[in-house]
Amino acid sequence: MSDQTMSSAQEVGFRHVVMTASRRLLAFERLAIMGFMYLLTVLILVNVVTRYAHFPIYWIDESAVYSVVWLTFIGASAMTRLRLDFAVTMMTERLSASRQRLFKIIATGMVIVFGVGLTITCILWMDPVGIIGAGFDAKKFAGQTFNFLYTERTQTLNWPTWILYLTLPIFAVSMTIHGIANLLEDLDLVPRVAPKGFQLSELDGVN
Amino acid sequence: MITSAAFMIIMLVGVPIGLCLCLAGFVYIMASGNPVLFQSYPLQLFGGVDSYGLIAIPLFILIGEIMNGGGITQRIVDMAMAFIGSLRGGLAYVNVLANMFISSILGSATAQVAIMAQIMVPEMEKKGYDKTFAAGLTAYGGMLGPIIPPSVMFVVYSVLAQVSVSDMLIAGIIPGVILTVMFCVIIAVMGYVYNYPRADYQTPKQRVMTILRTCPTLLIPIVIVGSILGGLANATESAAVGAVAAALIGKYWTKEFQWSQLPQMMLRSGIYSAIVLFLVAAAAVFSWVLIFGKVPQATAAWIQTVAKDPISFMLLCNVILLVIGTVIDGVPGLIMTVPILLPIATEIYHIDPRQFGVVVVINLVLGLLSPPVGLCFFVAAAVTGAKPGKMFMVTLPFFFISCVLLILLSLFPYLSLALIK
Repeated sequence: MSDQTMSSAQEVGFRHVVMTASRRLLAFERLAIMGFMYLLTVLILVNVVTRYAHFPIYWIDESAVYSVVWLTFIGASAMTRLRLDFAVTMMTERLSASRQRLFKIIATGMVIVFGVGLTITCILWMDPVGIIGAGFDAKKFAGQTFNFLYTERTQTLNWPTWILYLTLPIFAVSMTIHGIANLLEDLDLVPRVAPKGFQLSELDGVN
Repeated sequence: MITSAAFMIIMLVGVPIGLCLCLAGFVYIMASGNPVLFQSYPLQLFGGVDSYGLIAIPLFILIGEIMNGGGITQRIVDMAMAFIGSLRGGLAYVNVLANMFISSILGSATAQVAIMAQIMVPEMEKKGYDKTFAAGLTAYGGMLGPIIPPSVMFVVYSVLAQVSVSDMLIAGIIPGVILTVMFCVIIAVMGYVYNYPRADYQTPKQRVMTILRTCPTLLIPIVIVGSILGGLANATESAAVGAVAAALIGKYWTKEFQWSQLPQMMLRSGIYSAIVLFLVAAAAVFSWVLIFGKVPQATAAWIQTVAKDPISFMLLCNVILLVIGTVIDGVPGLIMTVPILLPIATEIYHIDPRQFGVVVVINLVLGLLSPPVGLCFFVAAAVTGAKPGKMFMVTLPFFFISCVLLILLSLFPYLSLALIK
């Protein structure tokens, strides 16, 4: 097999892996978004009922807040793939079709830049090598680095906060994968396929 | 300087605004030569949405989804028709009045325009109204969405400004009602000048029957407001109570809501909420950068040379925000301007943050109805096929009267604060 054929096969393999990963990720995100919405609604209703019945559950407010945080970042990742976010297009839409395509590719490229950048900042912040080096001893790690991430706990749930913060590295990686999938579509290297299970209208919006 | 230039360039390239705000943060940290800030970056992003007040947004969007799926919107239009449909220009009043009712349930202008344009414009066209006027009027009716509570924009503002969500929602009531009345006055004048048609005559019996058939839909805003005033729920929780009320009315009264629709409604609400909430998270990063870069101080110094007193400051803000609103959507506009302008308004000119919030939100919403972007016009155009540019021209009186309201709100804080305890 010639080098050219091999590199072409690798390229096709890479595209297939990215598109499959993005598709599976989106399917998971779809379920997670619905799950967090149900969870949020139930938590708030339970809070209303239990408070009315004079036995309020003190950790519900905090749970609801973190449900919304996770909903935000998982939803933001999905909206990247669904191309649903706000953008100022007043300049680009006045350009020729070929230039519009070029700017679209640049804009999608910036999504990947952000995803990779956020992944790096998460690694710097969570310092996985440092915590492993400290033998997963959060106090020892905090003493060595003055990074108290692994010693903090939430106020009412009393969960380690780093577990809740995990939504950020997950978001960074999933957004990067969706960004690459979008870029492959923008470059016409793979055909555009409508995402399954989302009955969204372009007319629906929020402001 | 480098951060501002980078921000402008990436925004004009068409990068989503949330990411522009986040990327501006990266550029600032690199330009400042202080890479240790990279470690705080994710925490700023997380902290932006780690707020109790924001819980209301997904729930209010969910109410809108359930209401639309349950056929409640159409019932509200029918009810408005029974009240005032037989006047000259009746359907135009119905359009504004139904929009006002629906605004008390929905919180988003574009969503409201999309829904109402599908219902009202064909009906008005059938009765002999110009399609462009009908679509333009519906777009202005949608403007009431983010003003009359509940309002997604007010919730976002209250989180940005650290003021009570309930106070902000209540602050929107009087301006919303004044705007509705002003719109009705213009319709009366235009109806007289252009000889607008009347809707089909309904006998008193028919009207009573329609009102009786549709009045349970009014339970939704009553449940929302009543649960707050009755101490059952706070402003955030009232949204969940309202969603249950909407589902029950849709299921057992209009009989158009099915539980099987709920997963899709939850999904759509979750995604649309994420669009707004991610912007709020990105705004936290952007505000952090602004504070490090001392941008509010620099802007304050410049504004103080131009505006000598609170009134001239408010009028200047009106002009700035209207221009910003024409090119940037509501929530992103809010997120970019509030961290800069609010400290100046409260600390230098001693303006009440709630009054300032009402003015900022109405200004930015009016921007959605102004060229060159005018998102509400584009939404109405997409649904009806009318031309956005023409729509703006035929509805110019509504634009001017909205500007008058803004000036009144800027001059008289009482109009925003009267109902707040």
